[in-house]
Amino acid sequence: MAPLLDVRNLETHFHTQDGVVKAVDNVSFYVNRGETLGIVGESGCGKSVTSLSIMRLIPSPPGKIAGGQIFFDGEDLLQANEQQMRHIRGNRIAMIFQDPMTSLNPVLTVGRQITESLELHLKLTKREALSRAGELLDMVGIPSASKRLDNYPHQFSGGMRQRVMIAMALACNPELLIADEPTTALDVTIQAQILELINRLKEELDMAVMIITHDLGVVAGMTDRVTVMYAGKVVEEAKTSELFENPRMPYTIGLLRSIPRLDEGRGRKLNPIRGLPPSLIDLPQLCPFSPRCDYVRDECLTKTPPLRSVAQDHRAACLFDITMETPLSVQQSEGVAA
Amino acid sequence: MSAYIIRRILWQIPVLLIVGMMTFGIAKMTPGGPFDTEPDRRQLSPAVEKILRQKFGMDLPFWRQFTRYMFFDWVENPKTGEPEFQWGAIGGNFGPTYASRGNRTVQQELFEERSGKPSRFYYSARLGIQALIFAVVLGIPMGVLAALRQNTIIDYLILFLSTFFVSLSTLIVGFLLVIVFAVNLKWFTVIPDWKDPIRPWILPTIALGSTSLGFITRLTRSSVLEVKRQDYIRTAQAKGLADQIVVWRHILKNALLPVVTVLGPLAAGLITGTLYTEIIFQVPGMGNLLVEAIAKRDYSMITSGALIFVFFLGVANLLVDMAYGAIDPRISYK
Repeated sequence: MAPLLDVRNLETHFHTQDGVVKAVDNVSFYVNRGETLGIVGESGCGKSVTSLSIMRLIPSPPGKIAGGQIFFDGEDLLQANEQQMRHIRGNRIAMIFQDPMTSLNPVLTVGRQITESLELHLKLTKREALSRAGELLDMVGIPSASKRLDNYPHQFSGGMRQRVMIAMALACNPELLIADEPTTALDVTIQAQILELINRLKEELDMAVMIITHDLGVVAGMTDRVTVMYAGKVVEEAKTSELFENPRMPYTIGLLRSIPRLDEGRGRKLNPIRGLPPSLIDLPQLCPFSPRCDYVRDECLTKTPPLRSVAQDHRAACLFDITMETPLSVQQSEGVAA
Repeated sequence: MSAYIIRRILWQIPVLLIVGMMTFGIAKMTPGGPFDTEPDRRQLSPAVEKILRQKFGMDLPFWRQFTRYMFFDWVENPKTGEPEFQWGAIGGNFGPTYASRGNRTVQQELFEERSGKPSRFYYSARLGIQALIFAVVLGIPMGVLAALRQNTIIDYLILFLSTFFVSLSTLIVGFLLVIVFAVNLKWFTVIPDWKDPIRPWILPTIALGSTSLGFITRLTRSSVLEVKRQDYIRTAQAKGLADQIVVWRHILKNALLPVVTVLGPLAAGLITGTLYTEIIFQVPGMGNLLVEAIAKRDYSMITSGALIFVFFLGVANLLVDMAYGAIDPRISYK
């Protein structure tokens, strides 16, 4: 069966005074119906721009989708006109954002903010929409939900606001939910509750979820498959269990090594990935991760490694077969020590 | 809410008292007096001046003069010679004007009709309100339009015009309007005919409102630009709402908060501060009278002008704060 969402060779560029920023550079991935895909990467690697590109909400200017195709249920969203897009946004693809403190309109009641998409997409009357909004708030676990419809966002806590955001996103039973770092701005205890809620509702409503995060713990607990992004490119993709057991891209390996473990000895230092991600303006033709890579060799500086199949349903963008067990080269470890 | 309003109104009392006392004091301390004449003209005889000073209570100590103006006093009735109770400003009696040698009171000068013509206050207030409406009704849509069409020719044009109006001041815009529309195009008469209910008001309204128009336009534009890139606008777009609905329902209400805030002081200034416009367009309003009062050391008129300004500022600010509470649910008054 064809995937619900199929992104092919997506290119999203931002035109700035310093040059063209290729925020999303030839990115392809897919999401099947009922599946949860995780997109992982550090800040500025193009995760959020990818999701906004799918919604066609890239601020333009300066942003521009320069190429590629985004098939949603067989239809190319990049060919759709604005009216068709409006019919899809909030209705068939819904999105929740990172910061629930700023993502709700402060001068409208939460009831109004939920009913507006119900009235728009499902053509409900005001009264029907209001009672449905009450049910939705109840569904996301807000106590005495129907009484809180007249409240304003500032009368809710951060976790409750994210619940409101979820209720708003799920109002029209979307087929795909894009969650852009849904727990980053929340307390750790609330994070778990929100993830559990998303998981539960995904089962109940039978939707596909694309969860964007930099938190590998979230990925491990939530997703079926993972796409790792670095510097605007996909650098590894695999089933979640496969990726955690057998990472093949040095960047992914670095990410996994950097997670502190409870069972290791006290006083051990953290294992960060050294350096910073490259500027996305005028990336030279070399492996974008090479300046930070512990396994770098001369070939890495000659061309940009393409995604290649390294195992069943597992692709990685590295020229060499590197695994967790590959020893660090002597020269490189000296370099680190110095 | 009503408790809040009552408290705000009560707070006006000390403010008015302090402003009254300071203005009265400064006016009194200024060298010269209401009965001085230029050195080359016939001087008032010392005997007459003494009688006048007595008549206006200027021989009394300062605190007594002030309380007579502000609160009340027992004043000798010239006919019977008996002391008679008399209210001051708090009772609506703003005292005699020295310029008329006491024949007319300040409230008569400011608020009473003069041989069929409306009062001076009417002219100033109407002109101010019209200018405010002109500035708001044009300024807000222009600011919104410029922000929504940012970096297009429309934006640049609106930005240029509003900057032009803000920088030029009423004085220059007023003369420009007279030269272009009255002298050259002859659409209006240079000497206004105030029997006409509309025509003479148009140019002074534009002149007085122009600075505020530019100000409101620029403020609205920057405020809309600020709101436009908020996260909740992206949320609204992600719901699939049409652009007009996003603008009307989500952007405008948020963007107008800072605009509403400045309307209070702006309104008070427009209603009472119409001096240049009144001079250029020969409007028989209060502004001219109040400035002349300073030159003539007309103490009661000067202080009354200040009190009226502060009163309107307080009322306008209260109205704005209430409007603010109605627009922004995060603000509640207790």
